[in-house]
Amino acid sequence: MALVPDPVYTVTYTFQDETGSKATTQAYIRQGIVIDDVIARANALAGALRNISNAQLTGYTISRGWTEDTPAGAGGGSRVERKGRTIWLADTYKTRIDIPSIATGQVLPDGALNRNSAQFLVLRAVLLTDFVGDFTDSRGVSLDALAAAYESYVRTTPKRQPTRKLA
Amino acid sequence: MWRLRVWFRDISGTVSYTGAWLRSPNETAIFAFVEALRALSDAEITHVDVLRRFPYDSQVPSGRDRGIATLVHRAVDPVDGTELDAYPMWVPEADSGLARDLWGHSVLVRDYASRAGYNIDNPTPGDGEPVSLDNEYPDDTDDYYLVAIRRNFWHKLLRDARAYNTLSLTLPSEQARRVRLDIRDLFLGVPMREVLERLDRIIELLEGGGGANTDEIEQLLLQIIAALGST
Repeated sequence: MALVPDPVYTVTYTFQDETGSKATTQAYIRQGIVIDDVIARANALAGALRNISNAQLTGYTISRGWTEDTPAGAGGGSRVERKGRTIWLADTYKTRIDIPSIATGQVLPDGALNRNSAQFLVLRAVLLTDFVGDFTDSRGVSLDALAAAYESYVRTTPKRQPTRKLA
Repeated sequence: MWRLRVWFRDISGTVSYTGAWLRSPNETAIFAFVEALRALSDAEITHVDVLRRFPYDSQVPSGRDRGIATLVHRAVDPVDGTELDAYPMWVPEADSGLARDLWGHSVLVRDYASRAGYNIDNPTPGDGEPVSLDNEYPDDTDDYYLVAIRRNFWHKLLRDARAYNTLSLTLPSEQARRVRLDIRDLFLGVPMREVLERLDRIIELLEGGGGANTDEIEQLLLQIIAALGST
């Protein structure tokens, strides 16, 4: 059970023509080089694409992925709609990280998550102390405290449903 | 900021993801976060991705009449140079003459790869074969690449062809038709020129309106069916 990296960074370029129609094209940059070099390559190709196209190059997205080679298998009764909702502070702003299908053993009788469980303390350490400055809110401000942690439910969205249809 | 997404699947097969914001795609931090989540959830983790959008200040768009330039570049094993893959790329609103000059600038000569991770190192201006569209079908010297794609790599090209097909919707109808025919042809792995010549003739006849010779259309369709190997 391990996360296997995709062999490439994927760069998706977005174009828009004068009618407003949009299109994308993709390029791939090999793994194993530092991220600043990946960004430099993506930006250089953006310049070259801009020069040969009449459309407007509106931007590009760099992505990288890892795939679980042997997924552990979902536990019986697991449902991703049952979330462990955690709210973190970044300065005074709040940011949310949900845990799909929170293990029932992590939920206290009053619906709060057990903040003192060994598993939760690991998550807290990863976000707040082990990698200081790495985890932020959307503005780029570092997370600095836990504000709330409780069980919550959301509805199943059609896009997330399995393809099979139950009779 | 980089957006980290961790994808889960529960016992019913329903999928969901959770996200976090990162200052940089630090692999050690990402893996630690994933393992922490794994211990807290009873669903399985299937994959993880991290992405960031970069806005780009480009020119005002002008025109929608240049079609799409499509290049196919060979990709090789970084160790022994064996040709192992093909790398298709299309550029909206660009003609293939310009697209041939895409590679070879000083900043664009290394570290690019095909989707499967094989090198397309050392591309030079004029490298890569233009494929179809823009009414520029490959000549005899280009066929090698098309054959290679059909026999070995068509599935990779076809995966990208879904985006390609979406792109065809933005084109004038006649060019869009050509794009879709190319995709179909690549999928079926039959001689491209043979099929397209017949389809072009059919299209011409159909576009001719009420004067279409239905006998000739039927005969051409039968020839295509024979070429496709159907019974």
